[in-house]
Amino acid sequence: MHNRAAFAHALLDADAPLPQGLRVRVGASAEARFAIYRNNVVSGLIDALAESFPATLRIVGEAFFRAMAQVFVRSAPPRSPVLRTFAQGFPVFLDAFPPAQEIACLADVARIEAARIDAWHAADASACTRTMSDDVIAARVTLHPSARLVLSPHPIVTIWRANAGASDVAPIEDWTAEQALVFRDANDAIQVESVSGAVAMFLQHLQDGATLGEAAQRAMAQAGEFDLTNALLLLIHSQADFHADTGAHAS
Amino acid sequence: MTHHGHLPPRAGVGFKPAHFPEIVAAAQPPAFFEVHAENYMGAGGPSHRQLERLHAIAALSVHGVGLSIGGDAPLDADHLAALARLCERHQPECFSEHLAWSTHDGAFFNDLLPLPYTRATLDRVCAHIDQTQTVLRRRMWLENPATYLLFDASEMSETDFLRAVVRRTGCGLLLDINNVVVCAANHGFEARDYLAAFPLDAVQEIHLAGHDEQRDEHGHALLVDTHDRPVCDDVWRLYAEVIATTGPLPTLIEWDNDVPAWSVLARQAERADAILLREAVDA
Repeated sequence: MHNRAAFAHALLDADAPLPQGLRVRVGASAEARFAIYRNNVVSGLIDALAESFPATLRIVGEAFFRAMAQVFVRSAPPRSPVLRTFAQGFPVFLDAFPPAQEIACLADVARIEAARIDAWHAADASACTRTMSDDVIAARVTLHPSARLVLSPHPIVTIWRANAGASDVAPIEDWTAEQALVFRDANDAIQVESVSGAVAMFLQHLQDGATLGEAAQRAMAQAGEFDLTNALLLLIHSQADFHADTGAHAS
Repeated sequence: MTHHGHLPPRAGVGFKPAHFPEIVAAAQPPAFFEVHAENYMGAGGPSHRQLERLHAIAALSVHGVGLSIGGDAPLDADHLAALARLCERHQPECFSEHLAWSTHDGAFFNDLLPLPYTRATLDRVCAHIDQTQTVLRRRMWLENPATYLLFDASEMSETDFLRAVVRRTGCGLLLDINNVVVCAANHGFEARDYLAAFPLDAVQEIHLAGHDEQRDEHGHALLVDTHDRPVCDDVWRLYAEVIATTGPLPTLIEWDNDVPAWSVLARQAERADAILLREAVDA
């Protein structure tokens, strides 16, 4: 039995000795051949991250991104063959990666990108009930399975948009907190909407099982300004499911 | 085992979402599409809807790249269950995986890594294929790998190893002719000798792809299985020879990196179809 553990270890650790028992019949050394596997593994995973986080890459530049991704790949390789789960761990890594601390918003922008991937693959809504009675205020709302809130003290939607190529990069005049709602709309497009702190609270209360009326009241009490009409339009656009208050549905 | 339809003995292509609009607008789409299983393991969303649309106009092949059939440890039960759900949901005409490992000690390396061909490896590979076929309730096809290294510990040839796997598990084989050409150059053997020793009667599908030719530090050719360009002439020649022996077989054009315009990929499939058609007429 050859040493599989040594082979696996040396794939991620460029300084590790070559595993025993390798054979090359023609041409170069086993080192050169093993380097192909090393490169496939490490570069392949870095490429996958670069593809998943284009705005994050644009903010820090290709060289810095690849160096950062390499540290992530070597220290925390994927635990599943489904690579989009690997991407979900990248923002958490950025939170704790000292060289990335210089750019305070970086991990939160990466969170938007991770949420977009997640939203693409999320479940479809079960048959929409929308049995709206007269009593809208008493309705409960289930957000679409693709909906993800990303909270941040930075203007992350503006920064993400500028670096995702959706608008020109321009100096940010007003550096204020932005919360993002990421979701898949009825046309299967992934949307990133900037929402106020009050709307973010409103959405969280709905997720916690509050009725529309309760969630609106609490958001208003906590944040002062709260635009219910806009919040309702956002719920409709993001394919939220409204249902009559049976008391049984609280998710 | 549940009865499934078959891939038609025609040309298919690896599906890339960027090509979707042109595929559904095409007057004559390819006979089948192949997708990597791991890209379709989300709970829902547009990717599943695309797959349903494709399967309405063509046959569907699900090709796994992450099961780690050659792994030391037991198969990842969660991953196998996800494969079963995918096959249950889309009812593909076939499922295939690789003679390789990609996971060790819980870490997934996202590459198809090489195995020593020993009796111990054979036992493990066969047990993993038995388990996969039982859970998926279907026969699977096993693909010959592209490799860059050999092992001192190997006790048999790759073709003998594959023949034994087929005998013990009843699985079919997926013959990747580009992988044969890559290995022949990298390990110093004749591709035709390998194909002559290959259990061709077990082959259910063929893969064709492009590779990169590099030079090592001694000036020897080193071929890397890159799937980033057209199929080379050597591979086309060997393909025609294999088809002349086996008769027409489902044939996939794999192009995963630097993905070309749909028309370029479609022309590669047409070239394979022309060879298949000629063989069907001659037979």
